[in-house]
Amino acid sequence: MTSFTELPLTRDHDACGIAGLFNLDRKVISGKKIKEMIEVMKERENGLGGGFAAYGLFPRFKEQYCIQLILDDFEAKEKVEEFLKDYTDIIEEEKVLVKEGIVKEYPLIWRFFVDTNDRENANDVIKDIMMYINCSIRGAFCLSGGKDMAVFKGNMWAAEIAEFYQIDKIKAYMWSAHSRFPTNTPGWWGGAHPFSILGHAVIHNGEITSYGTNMEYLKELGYECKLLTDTEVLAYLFDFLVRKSGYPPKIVHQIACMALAPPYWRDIDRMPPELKKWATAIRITHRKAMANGPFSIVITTDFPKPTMIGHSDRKKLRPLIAAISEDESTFYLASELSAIHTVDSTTNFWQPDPGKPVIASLGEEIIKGTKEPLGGISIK
Amino acid sequence: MRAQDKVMPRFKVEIDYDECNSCGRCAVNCTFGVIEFDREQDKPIIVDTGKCVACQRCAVFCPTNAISIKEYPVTYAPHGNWTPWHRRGVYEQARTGAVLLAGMGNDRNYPVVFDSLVWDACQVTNPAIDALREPVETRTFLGRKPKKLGIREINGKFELEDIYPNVMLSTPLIIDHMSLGSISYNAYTAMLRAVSEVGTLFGTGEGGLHPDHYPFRKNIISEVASGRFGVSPDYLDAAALEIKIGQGAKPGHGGQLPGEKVTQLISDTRGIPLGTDALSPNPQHDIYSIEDLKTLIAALHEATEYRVPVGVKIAAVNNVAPIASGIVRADADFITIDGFRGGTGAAPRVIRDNAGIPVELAVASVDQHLTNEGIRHKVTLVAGGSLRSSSDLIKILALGADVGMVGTAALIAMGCRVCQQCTTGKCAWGIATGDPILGKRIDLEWATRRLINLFCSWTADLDEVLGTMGIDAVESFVGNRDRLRYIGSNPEEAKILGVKHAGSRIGIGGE
Repeated sequence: MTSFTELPLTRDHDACGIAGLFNLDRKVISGKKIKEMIEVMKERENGLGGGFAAYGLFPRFKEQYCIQLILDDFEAKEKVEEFLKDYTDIIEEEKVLVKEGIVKEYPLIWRFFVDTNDRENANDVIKDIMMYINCSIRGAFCLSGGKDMAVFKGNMWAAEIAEFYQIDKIKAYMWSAHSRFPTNTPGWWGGAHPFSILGHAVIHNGEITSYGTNMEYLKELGYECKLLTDTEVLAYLFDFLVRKSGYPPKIVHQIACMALAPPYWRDIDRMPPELKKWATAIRITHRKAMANGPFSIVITTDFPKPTMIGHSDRKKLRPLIAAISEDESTFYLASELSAIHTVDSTTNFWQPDPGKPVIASLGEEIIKGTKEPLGGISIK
Repeated sequence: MRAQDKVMPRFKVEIDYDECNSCGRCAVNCTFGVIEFDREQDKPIIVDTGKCVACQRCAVFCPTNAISIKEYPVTYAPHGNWTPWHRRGVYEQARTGAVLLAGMGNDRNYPVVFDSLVWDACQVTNPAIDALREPVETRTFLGRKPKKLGIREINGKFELEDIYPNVMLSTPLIIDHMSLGSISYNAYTAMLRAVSEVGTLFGTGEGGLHPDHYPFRKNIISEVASGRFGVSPDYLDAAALEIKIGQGAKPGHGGQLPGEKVTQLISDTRGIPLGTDALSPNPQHDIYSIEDLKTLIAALHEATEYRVPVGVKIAAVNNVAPIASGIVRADADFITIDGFRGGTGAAPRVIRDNAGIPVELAVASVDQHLTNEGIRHKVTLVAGGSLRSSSDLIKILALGADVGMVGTAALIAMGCRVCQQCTTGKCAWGIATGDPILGKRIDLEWATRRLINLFCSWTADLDEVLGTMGIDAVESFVGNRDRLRYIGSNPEEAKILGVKHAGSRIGIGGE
């Protein structure tokens, strides 16, 4: 019998859920925890997309790029294979196992482990391969293409995605998860998050109002945005700023985050001279990399080493909370505190400031997002 | 003059003697010889209505509002092809045998592309920003930008290489070049005072810089044009330098200041003898190719020890995109594009009215072309000719300009009525004149305040609009064609603009 008093489990909301979990000792843990984190924020999704990114998945193929794909049929798979053979050696390939009965229709999910023929520019080759597959091979979509990592996503509730890919049986040292409430585009498998290029994966709650400007900037830099999602620009901007720029590894994430959400000029004007010079130069040079509009994001990357970043727009119009477990082994990010508390009640948690990134990089002290990036660095 | 030479007046000035108090102020103010005052007469205001240009000076200064100015009620026999405008043109050329000159900008009734564009706003999925309560930033930098920063790590310390010189503007709006001589000393000074107060720039025009104006050098773009008038070390010590190749009102044409306008003031400023004609050739005679332009850019960079941005101004013409690309590759730090509606002190009317293309199309095409070539980030794109309102400014930014520029709008702020008599030097409002007495009609304090108000008001409009689009910094709006929509009827135009038709949704997903 229908209950007239029980609150419905779902209601219309404009939101997305994001969560991240990073074992700072690089120990692999089951996906059970991240699954619980994202599931508890069910109010933030509407069943039109969810996904996970996981790092540390393939100890046997650590050095190979894992091209993980969704495919409409075997014909598309063969087309991708033919294409890959031109530029790479396929070391291994396998079907990604999924659970039957979760969703009526679903694509073929496949992964190739490859070495590029051109070793010197391997990252650029893989970047171009991913873009080519997504733009030009009908029936194929590349979910991820990094080393020792993969993205699992689709057009369902996050909990169903977890079941579908059997996330709790997968072990990784760094996880991110997204549950989607799409507003402008229809939900579709490729449009779900994480959105990934090379070893970077971005999950995003928000809407990028600077999309047109960012897209033009990326076109100049050799990135074509054709996937109907504004999250795409964040992934490509991050790839340009972090990898392609060649900035020093120690500060590259801070520079990238400052470019994505630079300090206000009124704050820059009051900075000490050295920091002012840096902030001004970053803001002027990468002016079209600034991401405007409401966003909170979790970026996971293996470049230059495993790193998890939480970041928000300058007014922090979407929620983001960070936490570290009492034993300091696990770093968490989530839209809501409930997601963190549901898996770990011992944490020390904090609210990062608007527009200030939280950066947890393996073996480095965590930058907590409570002051300007680059503030603690020796700069001139 | 034979009777047949006569052309019927364009305007009719009427005095309402029920209201008129015979003060004669109208006659004092009229500079076109329309009104004379004779106290002895029964009706003391004597009107030669054929000379009236509808500048409104007499009407505005009449304390009893006794003056009305109408279109002259002698009709031309209607003809759809031979409009009165065409007939007048033939009469005038048959009478004089000369090239007709015109002032201000192209006044023909071409469609205005700006009027076919509307912009987007936030609803639900992305919150609008309240610009009155939260920061919305309009600060803009004029100059060359690197693709990426130069950073070195030395003993654990990170060193940042200096980036190229950039001029900071508080708002993405500057005043376009107008030379002393084409406008009065007071109008010129008021514009300099206003831009220095606001924190933006004003162009010298090609007329050099008077020593009185040296203190404003931090807010001056010095123009190096084909006549090279007034180019001196002091002149080059400005915020930015601009090589003028072309002007929107007269693409391919130079300029001439007749000797009678070269007064002592102009002689001092331009560095030419009193009373000599100041002729600016059509091309720069040391620039016959893009390589030559590159040489001049390099010479100016060298002369100023790479301390100031050097830009190039071109008129919006068909091939503007590849030309702009060549200019970027010739090491210009900024490019100024002047549309076919741009103003002028004087230009052959046939050129003013027909040459060039709308700046909206030029900017969109340059922005997209430079983007496709991967060099858009290097330069600052400045565009005008003409921006009539803050909405035109906002649209030109979204179409790809980093900075908008105004000329005529600044003159209108100082009282100009757009009567298009700039060529005559008789400007009754004291703006477009070299006559020192007429020039005094501009009150410096008042005109400066009006200009500052215009800048503040357009900037406030820009803040508000960016806020409603959920954008809190203007750099996220430059080239953001995604937030514009086309409501005209010409798909080809929309395609060139790179703007979707109204009703088509945003091609991206919010999350």
